[in-house]
Amino acid sequence: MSFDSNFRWQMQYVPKVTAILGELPNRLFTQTRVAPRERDIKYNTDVMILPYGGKDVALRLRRPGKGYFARYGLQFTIRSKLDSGAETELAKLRRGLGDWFFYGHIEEGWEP
Amino acid sequence: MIRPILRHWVLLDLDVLRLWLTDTRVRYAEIIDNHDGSWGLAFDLRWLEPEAFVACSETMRIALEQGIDAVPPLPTAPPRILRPAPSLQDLVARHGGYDRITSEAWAHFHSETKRWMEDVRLDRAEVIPPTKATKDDAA
Repeated sequence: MSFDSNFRWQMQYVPKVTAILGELPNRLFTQTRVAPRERDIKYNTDVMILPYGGKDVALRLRRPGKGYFARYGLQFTIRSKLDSGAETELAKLRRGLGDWFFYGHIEEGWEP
Repeated sequence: MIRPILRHWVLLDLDVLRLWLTDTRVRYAEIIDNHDGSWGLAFDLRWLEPEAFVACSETMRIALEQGIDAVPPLPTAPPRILRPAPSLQDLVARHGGYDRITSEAWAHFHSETKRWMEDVRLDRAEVIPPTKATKDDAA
């Protein structure tokens, strides 16, 4: 899966992630909380950053898959190597990119 | 309908995480090949100090405290609605008292109850939701 399609896949969940952030206590934020507009969302090679309430939130969602929840539900992953040789998510986070890291698992389930 | 659901998440403080990642004793759980020209390191959330957690979902809290197997699974099919069993209460009410139920009515009640139990056993007691019935009828 290319980074572009990864970006589009994650973008569909941005409203849900924003809604989750919106339910957190006000004291966690430094500014009035405003949902990011699409053009405010940065995607630099392999990291999606949502600006929200004065925080830069790095976003990573794990795709659904058979048995994934049981196997990976207590893990978080950080991209550490790119074939392109570009700076990785791990390197960017280490040098100070982002304030928070939102890591979520997409599951598939029945909803009416 | 089967839908993608985001109920299991964690929000980590990157300042704490950065410090943690500089610790030379930190090890990753496994290397993940994303099959898109990128690889990732997987870490176990249970290795992090409590101050790394800004917030987490209820399912994540359960998983961290009791293990991933303690998280209730998502339903993969609609809940089944079963036809109710014959009601003894209704039978009594229809006859104006327990003592006034006729032997024929008892026999019918027992027969209906037996039939209902057999339907449940043979998976024939499900009530089709009205929306599905309407859709099927239309087709």
